[in-house]
Amino acid sequence: MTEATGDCRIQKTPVIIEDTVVLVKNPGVTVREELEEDGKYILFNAENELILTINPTGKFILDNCTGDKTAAQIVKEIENSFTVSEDIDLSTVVKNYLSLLLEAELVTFGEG
Amino acid sequence: MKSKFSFLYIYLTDRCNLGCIHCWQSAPLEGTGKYSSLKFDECKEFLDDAVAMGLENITFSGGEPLLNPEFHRFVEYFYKNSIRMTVETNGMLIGNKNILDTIRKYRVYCAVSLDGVNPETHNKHRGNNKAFDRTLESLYKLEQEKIGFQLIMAISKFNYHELVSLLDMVNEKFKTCNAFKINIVNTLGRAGEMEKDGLLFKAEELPALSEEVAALIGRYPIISLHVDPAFVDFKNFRLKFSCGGYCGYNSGLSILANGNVSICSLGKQMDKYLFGHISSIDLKDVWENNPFLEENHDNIHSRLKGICSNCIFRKQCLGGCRAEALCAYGDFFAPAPRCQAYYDSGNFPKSKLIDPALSSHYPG
Repeated sequence: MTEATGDCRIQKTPVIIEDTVVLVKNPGVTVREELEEDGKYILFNAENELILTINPTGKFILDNCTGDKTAAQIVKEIENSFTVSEDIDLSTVVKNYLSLLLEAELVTFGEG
Repeated sequence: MKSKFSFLYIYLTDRCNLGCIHCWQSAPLEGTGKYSSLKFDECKEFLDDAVAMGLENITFSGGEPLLNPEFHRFVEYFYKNSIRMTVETNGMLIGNKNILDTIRKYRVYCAVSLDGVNPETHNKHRGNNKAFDRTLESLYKLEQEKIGFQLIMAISKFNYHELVSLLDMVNEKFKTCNAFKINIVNTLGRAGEMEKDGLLFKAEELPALSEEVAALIGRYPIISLHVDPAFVDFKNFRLKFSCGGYCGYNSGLSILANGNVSICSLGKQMDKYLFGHISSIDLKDVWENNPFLEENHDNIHSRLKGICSNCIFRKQCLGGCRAEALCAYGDFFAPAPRCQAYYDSGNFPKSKLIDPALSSHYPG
């Protein structure tokens, strides 16, 4: 759901996201441009000065990191908003993605 | 954390066999000026220290580096120490059997300049009416020997119109060409005259230029563009690009043709950026304790001024070519001149500013 742009890279790390984890979007992260052709968004994180692209589903997940939703609730939000193929383990996919967002410092742990 | 030393830029000689109209170093022509050349024995101890410190890559440059009579000795040394080598050359001498044998045997990667598909264009850019034929002859030999190489096209308004036809020729004739880098001629050195003639691209023309190059990448996947990222649209980020003239001074140093060690060829013009002579310098001490390097290695992005202080690419780009900024403004931390001009003209995209509300003029 994310890809590196320019010289930036996201390193995958095995941060385990439990159902009850609450994440909050880093306030320094702003959308810089929406790429109309492929529907992606350009994000800039002012804290670490990383530039990233993110697709609409990824942005939906990021926008749901509001500090008052658990990972399980975010999974539910996606189920309610997107058509998801039955053979996809959505919970695992979303939690792995949240782990990536955490590693990229786009989100931090919330109070919960 | 201290930057890791891994790279040396080695100016083997400042002598040159061409008189390129855009030469950013104003290298003296053979027989027309005083020049220096590095001697291997003088460098050996310094190079041993560099290898011990973790040297990984070196680039030979000049002048024309293949004019150094000891090229073979340098290459053999680095090969034995498993250091990756690139030689930036005008290609005039690669056809020489000894040089070709050295390049093949010691796996030196050649980055060869070729500025046009028409002989007249390349020859005029290179100031020599035999340049095109000689360089082509060399490229055919590399092709024949199946030695991979990079081509570098220095573009200005003088030759840009030949880009696509040159790429077509490369596609057709040179299967071993695995990279095609496009450099935009800047205002340094002899190119100052080209600027007076209106032949250099202006800042506001660069976004359209990068757009055109990005559109070519499907047909010619080997191309890359050497331009500041501010001029590349986000949608074109798949284009391989790098900062205009970014010297990588935070990962290495340069040895000038006279043996002085500097951050880059800037040391030729300004003593302030010289760290000593290879015969007497303690490389480890310079790298770890020189006040200038100490101060700037890891945080230059936060010291840049003008538009560079407020650009979201500042951490990747590090302000581009510092020599260019110094020549334009007399300040090592001055903004990249083309980026500043772009901002001053009101065209710099707000989406590429860290704080769009902040004024980023220079001087402030």
